[in-house]
Amino acid sequence: MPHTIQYPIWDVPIIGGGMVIAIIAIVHVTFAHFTVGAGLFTAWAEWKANRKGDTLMLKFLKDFSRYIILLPFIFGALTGVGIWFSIALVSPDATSALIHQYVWGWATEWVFFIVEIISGYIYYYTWGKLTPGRHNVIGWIYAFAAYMSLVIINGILTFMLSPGGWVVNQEFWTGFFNPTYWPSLLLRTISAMSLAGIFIAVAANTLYDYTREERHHIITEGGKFLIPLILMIPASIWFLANIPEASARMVKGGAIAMTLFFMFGLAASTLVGLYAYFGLILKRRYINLETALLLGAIAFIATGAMEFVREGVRKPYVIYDYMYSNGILVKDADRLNQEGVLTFAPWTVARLGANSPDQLTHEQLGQAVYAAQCSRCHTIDGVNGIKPLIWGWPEDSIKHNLDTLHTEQPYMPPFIGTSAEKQALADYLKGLQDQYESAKANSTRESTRS
Amino acid sequence: MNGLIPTPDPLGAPSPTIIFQLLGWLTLVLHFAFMNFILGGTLIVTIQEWLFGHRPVIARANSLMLKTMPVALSMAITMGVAPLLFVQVLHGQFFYSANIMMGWYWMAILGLVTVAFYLIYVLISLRPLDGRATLLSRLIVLVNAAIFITVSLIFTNNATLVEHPELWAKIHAGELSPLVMDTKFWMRWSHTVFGALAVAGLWCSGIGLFQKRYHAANREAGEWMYRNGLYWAKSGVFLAMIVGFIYLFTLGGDTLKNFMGNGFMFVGWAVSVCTAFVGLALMVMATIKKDQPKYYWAAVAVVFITLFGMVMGRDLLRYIALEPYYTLSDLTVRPHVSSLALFLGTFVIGLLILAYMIRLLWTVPGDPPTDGAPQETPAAAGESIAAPVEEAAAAVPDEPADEASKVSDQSDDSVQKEPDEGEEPKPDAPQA
Ligand code: HEC
Repeated sequence: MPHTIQYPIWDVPIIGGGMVIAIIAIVHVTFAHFTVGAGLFTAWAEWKANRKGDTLMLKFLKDFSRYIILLPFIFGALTGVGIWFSIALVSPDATSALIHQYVWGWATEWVFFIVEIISGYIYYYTWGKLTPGRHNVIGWIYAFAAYMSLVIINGILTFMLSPGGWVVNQEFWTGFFNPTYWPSLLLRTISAMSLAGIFIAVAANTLYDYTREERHHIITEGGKFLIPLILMIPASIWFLANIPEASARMVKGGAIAMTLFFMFGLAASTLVGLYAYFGLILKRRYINLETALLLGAIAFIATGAMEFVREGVRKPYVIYDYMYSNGILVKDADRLNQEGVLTFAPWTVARLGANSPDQLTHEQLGQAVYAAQCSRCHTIDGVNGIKPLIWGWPEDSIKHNLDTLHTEQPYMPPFIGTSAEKQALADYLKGLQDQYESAKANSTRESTRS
Repeated sequence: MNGLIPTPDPLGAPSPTIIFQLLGWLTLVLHFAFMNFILGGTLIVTIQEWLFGHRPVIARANSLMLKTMPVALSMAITMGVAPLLFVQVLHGQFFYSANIMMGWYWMAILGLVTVAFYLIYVLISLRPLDGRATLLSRLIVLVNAAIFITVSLIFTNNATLVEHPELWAKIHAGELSPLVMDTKFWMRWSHTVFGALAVAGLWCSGIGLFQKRYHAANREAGEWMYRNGLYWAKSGVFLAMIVGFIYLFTLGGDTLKNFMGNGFMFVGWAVSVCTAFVGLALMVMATIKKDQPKYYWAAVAVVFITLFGMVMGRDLLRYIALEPYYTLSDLTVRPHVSSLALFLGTFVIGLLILAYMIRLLWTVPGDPPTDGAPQETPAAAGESIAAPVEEAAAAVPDEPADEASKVSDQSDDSVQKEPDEGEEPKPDAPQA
């Protein structure tokens, strides 16, 4: 029996489950990257300060390490768990695949995570209590553990976009060191360093017992972590060259939203990098709190945009060439086309109170097909809402659209199911459209009356 | 019904299921050790703040408890990740389905814990080391207690739903609330809460011992915490045992028969029931012989074993409940040795790194042992566990930057003479 659409459905009206994941994930990725970069900065800067006798930097690092604990530990850890919780609710089958294929990878990351947390606390609490050299060793342990967790998770994240030979042999390492592994690691390292660099400028400005000169010194040091941003463009080209062909087409104009987000993300990152190099390093400019926060916001948006693109160009798959975004395994598609999708989607039927698809009315049939195949990406009338999307379409365009779902919109998987199911879905969508139109008509009537 | 249960993942598991089970039990016990301190400890502090907070010794004890909580909560979360992983490998199809039934209730855990975490920091900064807590801070403690109780209810509810697939169809069709909350549920839940009180009581005693030994200024509070923690621990174990037995017998004859008929896991569980009695006896001994902490440490060890057995027994009960739908042998195993080796290798390296760091910590000087004369320097006030708040940081008189600068030209730190290395008291008591 096909292992697809076997799970109950988490209904999230208006914003949709995908958006819940996206919100948590973007916050998490920003914090997690920051942690990695901050670890590297702290260890490096402490080492350098110890050698040069830079007491000011040591004082700052002590204050700064408090930020590392307060913000990312908790926020990073909890949003990390939040991603797990939310993807399990929205895409249990994909989550299950990631877990079953990569459980030892996740477990390895967990070990690094523990080392990171414990060394982070020790680092913070032992300022001035260990010899400088030993304290710095703890800092390097922290940096190493944080970076290693990125090294691991990067393998699993890139696996989803470009599993490469894994699709054939389903082997751990084949999927792990996949075609985008290295370019993505480079991109994430750059992003981690730059987020740390920017946040150092924010932190230096929020600690009030420093003079402007002192802050300036710290900001200039932190600014060095922004310089790698200049590599953003070549690294992205390298990354693009290795993603699946259809995904690359989307970025290169095939899906205009992806193209724009990608360009914005890239441009914003590169500009911040140039600013750091020319402004902070060459001209030794000062950044005040407002500017630092503005840079932070730009970096957050750029991170969000890049993550959005990474998620977007993977569509219509959740694991490329293996599982569609709606949980249907690619290899099961033919069978589902013949035997019907609902035969294998028991929950969509059960939650309408029936035991088998043939107990459903024609309308319920359409509703169930919608729930099984479309509801993970579309809401009824909220984010990516199906009603506004098909607003004003004539009946046969709806039908036609279902025939060519995957060719018209690169985001969507093909319609999968029997022709009876397709007809039922078309009629259901038409019904939604009628509701939408009569609601619109009503509201216009109301507003003209008043 | 059977048609509704998702089938095991076609990708199978990369190692025999027993490995995941063993690691799952072990990490779950570690998670419980910290989580119980957070849940039980917050309850204890709440009760103490409201009822006895006017007594100076208790006020200080409460402060000391609160200061350990941020680290403990971080550890609870971190340690929870591993069992979460293994549960998904072993019976993810039930776990996910239960999660989906609960939906936003399940997601709420994250928001609740985040709020509680930051509230702990607020509490630490609001609360003076001594003296009655303000009404505001007493209210915040109460809010946190309510939050952690809610979280524990959500978790118990999820675990209950996992075992009752027969309820899912009605819940998903909207005919039944996803919150089960029947008698068995309340018993199961109160069993865990009493257990949490017991574990938190032991932590409280441990923190007391630590303070008494290494922070002369907190000697009195430390002594009180030690005794009082044992009191909570005894009551917790006692109540948990009573509820536990009632719970077991409400499970019904067939389950009970299967439970007892199952070889090694049942034996493990049965042993842990005996160790619970032993633990109780040891706690009584520790209370009587106040100045012999060896009884206390023995009780800690025995409670640890008990927890392990309980976790195992609970796991066994779950698979008994799921038997009509699923057994672990339904999960295909596609052995992949090198990825297991990756984990085990990293695990060993991780332990070595932790051992190394702890060894470094031994070189950290504590308070010089004094006989009785309380030293009222801020640095003595539990600052090895001081929370990262402005006050705590500001209270530390020695600027590390200055010290660092003195030796900064010595890049080779092996030349650096350790202050009193080897003679220093070792912080082997709970750091968290
Ligand atoms: C992988 C996620 C995903 C799935 C699954 C999915 N869609 Fe879409 N769909 C999208 C996205 C993204 C768009 C683009 C929206 C936009 O351009 O604003 C879209 C657009 C559409 C449009 C508008 C197309 C157009 O040309 O403007 C329709 C109609 C539609 N989807 C119907 C469906 C139906 C019916 C299903 C179920 C059979 C479905 N979708 C499944 C993601 C998905």
